[in-house]
Amino acid sequence: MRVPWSDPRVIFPLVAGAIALGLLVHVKQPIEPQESVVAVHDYIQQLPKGSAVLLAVDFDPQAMAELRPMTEAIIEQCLDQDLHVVGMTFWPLGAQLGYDMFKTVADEPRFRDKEAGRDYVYLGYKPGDLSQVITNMGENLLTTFPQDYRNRPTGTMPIFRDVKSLRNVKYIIDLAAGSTPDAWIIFGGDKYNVPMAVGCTAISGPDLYVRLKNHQINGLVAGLRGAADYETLLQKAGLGVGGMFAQSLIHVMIVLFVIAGNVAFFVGKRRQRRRG
Amino acid sequence: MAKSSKTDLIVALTCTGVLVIANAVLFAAGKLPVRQEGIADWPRTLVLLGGVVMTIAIFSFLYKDNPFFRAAENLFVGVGLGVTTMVMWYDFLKPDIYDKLVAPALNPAMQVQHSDLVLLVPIALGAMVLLRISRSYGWVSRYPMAFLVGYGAGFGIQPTIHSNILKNMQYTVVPTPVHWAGWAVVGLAVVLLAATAYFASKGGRLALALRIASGALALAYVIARATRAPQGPPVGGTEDLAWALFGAAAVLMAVAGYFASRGAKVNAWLWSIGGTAALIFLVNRLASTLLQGGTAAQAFASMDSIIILLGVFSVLCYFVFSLEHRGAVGALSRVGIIFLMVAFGASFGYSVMARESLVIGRFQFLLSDWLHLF
Repeated sequence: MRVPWSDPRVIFPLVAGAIALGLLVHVKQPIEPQESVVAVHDYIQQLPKGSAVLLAVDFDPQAMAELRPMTEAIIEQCLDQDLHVVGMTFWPLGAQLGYDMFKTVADEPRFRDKEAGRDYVYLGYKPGDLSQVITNMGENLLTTFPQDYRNRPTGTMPIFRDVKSLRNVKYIIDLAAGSTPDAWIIFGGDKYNVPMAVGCTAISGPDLYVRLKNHQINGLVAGLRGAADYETLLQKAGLGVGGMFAQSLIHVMIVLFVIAGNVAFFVGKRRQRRRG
Repeated sequence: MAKSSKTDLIVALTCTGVLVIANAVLFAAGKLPVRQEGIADWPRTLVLLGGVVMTIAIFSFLYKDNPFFRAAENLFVGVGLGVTTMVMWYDFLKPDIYDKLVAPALNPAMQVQHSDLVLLVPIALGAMVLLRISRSYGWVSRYPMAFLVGYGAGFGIQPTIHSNILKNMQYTVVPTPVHWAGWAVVGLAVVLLAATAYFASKGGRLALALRIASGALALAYVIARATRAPQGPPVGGTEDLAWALFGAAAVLMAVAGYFASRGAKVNAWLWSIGGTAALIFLVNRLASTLLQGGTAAQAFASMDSIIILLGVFSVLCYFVFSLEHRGAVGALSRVGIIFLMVAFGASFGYSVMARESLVIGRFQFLLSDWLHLF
């Protein structure tokens, strides 16, 4: 039996309507952060002031919806904790995006005293095989990135006074839309014994839970839900939290569609059997 | 004009009209152009409107394939390639090659640093790869490729084996303190899964009841995990002996698998010895965890390790094709299928959630950045 409203021309507008409703009607949903997200937040929170945190912004505008909220939340927390944030990317189309995110957070009035090159730096894009570039960074960060994204020489930057290589970095966080976490874990975290966390799109989440279980990463922020969890921990209502009610509405809709589809299937089967 | 073409034209004109009217209203209401500290920022306004038009053009594919969608799609690929080329030039080729080697060659006032001459080696290797397009000199490209493969393998094999294989093996068999209640549930789960796998093929009410019971147990486990029982500390044991037995079991099973394909009789003996070694290893692990005990809350949390172990063995069993999947092997491989289905289901669920997030992101852009509705 075919359900009369199973036509995409009915389903798509219904989904669009649910999203619009979810975004426009402000319903405060209780969000309980997942353990893996709390782990990242708590680890950053206990780092001593002035510790270097490396943020690999390995995504492009296609994954912006999921990864931008969590990236900005993490940069914000690091600057709040007076940590030194070093950003870079392996994605050419993510180079400008990474710069924009650093700038957006650093331009906030409460971070007026933070200075590029002293409290944070965005190094930009580096081409090449990931394993070799990460190993180069493990040996010498400054020869791998002689200049930052704005072509300022890194050798004279105060932020690199005590941070010469990955060995001096206290935490690596890869915010990734692809397979870069594997390279970071193998050639960065495991090789140089640097604690690591990953922020990823929901689609890569299941693959990375293995790394979490193996203690190769100590935290995982996956998808828009992960971003919402992180924003909740920072008590900030950003795009992640804002999208949660819309996502819940779509989930309810999908469950209803699945139930209705199954009911239609069994009813149809029964009718067919009766007809013989 | 055909009826469908007429409808398409009406839909296209309506969408364009709505878009124009919406922008006109926004201009009239003072929401457009975008303002930066009170001053109209026209480049940002154009970027915003371009984003709106492109988003709607891409969404138009949900109606049907159309020229607006194709134009937006091609523009996306073209712009992506253009930006990548520019980034490659400014972030890599210009500072690392042009400024160091070419600019000094063109300008007598500048000098090439001797240390930079080493760059000629990768440039030569890169140029050799490009010869692949030549029919006569295509063979030259094999040398840099051989260099790349050899270097990559030598460089990557050791850390990759350590991170991807050894670490996975280590945490597949990590012991945790398990409460007796946890063991009872594990035992019940194993029996239920095996019975479900066995009776599923026979059908009938018993199979249905077993399916419902194992489903209920799985649900109970998920609910129990949601209570976030704390993980207990790893428990020690006779580590070296256990690992030696595990290694011996793995080697013997692998050798047995090899001989099985040749039909040799030694196969059965190897399976027996390997299986016994694996069993002793497992008993050692279980005994060491049981002796340490644990809290009731840890019982459910610690079941993860056992479920992972069962999952790994049953899925591996499913992929052993040198043995006929009958009897115990058949039952275990059917359990493996259940684990595979759960994994695929979780991946699919996450994929759906990822797509939803992308749509939500676009709607946030349209409703907030463009229409200022929230």
